[in-house]
Amino acid sequence: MRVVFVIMAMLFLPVQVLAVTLAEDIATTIMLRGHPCGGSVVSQIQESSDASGNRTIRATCPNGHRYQVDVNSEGRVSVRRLN
Amino acid sequence: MKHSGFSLLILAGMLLSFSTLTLGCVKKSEVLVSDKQVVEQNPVEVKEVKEMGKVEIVEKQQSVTVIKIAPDSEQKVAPKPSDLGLEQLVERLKKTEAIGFLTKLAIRADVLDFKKTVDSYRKRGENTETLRSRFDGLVLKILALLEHDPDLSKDIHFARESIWNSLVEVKS
Repeated sequence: MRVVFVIMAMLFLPVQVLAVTLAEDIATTIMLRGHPCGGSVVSQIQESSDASGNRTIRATCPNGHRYQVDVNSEGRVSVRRLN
Repeated sequence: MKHSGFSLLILAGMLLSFSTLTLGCVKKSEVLVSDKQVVEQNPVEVKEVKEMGKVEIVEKQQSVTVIKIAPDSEQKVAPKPSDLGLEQLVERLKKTEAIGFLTKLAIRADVLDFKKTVDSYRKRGENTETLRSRFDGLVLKILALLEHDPDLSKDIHFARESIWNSLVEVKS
């Protein structure tokens, strides 16, 4: 009976906006800048920021490539491969 | 036996959902009214169309014909022009949770770069129509990212021409 309720709920479930995670966000940004990632979620995320407001994020894609995402104080995003 | 009972219930659920979706469809003998045009399947005189989703009565000589207008879900109703303003769309893009913060920053940088390119083309007196394919690519990229926010994606798609016009128009 529970299965029926689940199926009925899925049938009538409205389409909702799903919030993306940081891992998905980083993977999307890497791909948006034209780099191959091999999946939509990254792992081994390391974040750091300096006093001038620049932010650096390092993450590993499912294909094994490790990238560094730099966000400067003006909001410009750049991606470079580390390995 | 237990499985067949489940299957029957699932089938009943699917039938129920299907009947819910098809409720409000226009019958063959009725007049189908879309957002732009009136298609008459019977020779009736349509006097006035007020609002979507309401039943209206149209008189022709002595007979009274009931016109059932298909509900909004059955039609491709264009969004209101007030929802398609560039500023409103930008605000909605900023607020949507379908795109992450970093991705929004990356898109913003792309849009700003594109605006700079359009401005430089305009200053040099070159034809900005050559940038149209690049603009379409940028919009497509944004639409692809808005996979989880179909309403905003649809509105941006509808507003594509007005966005392009606002980009290339000469501001005095």
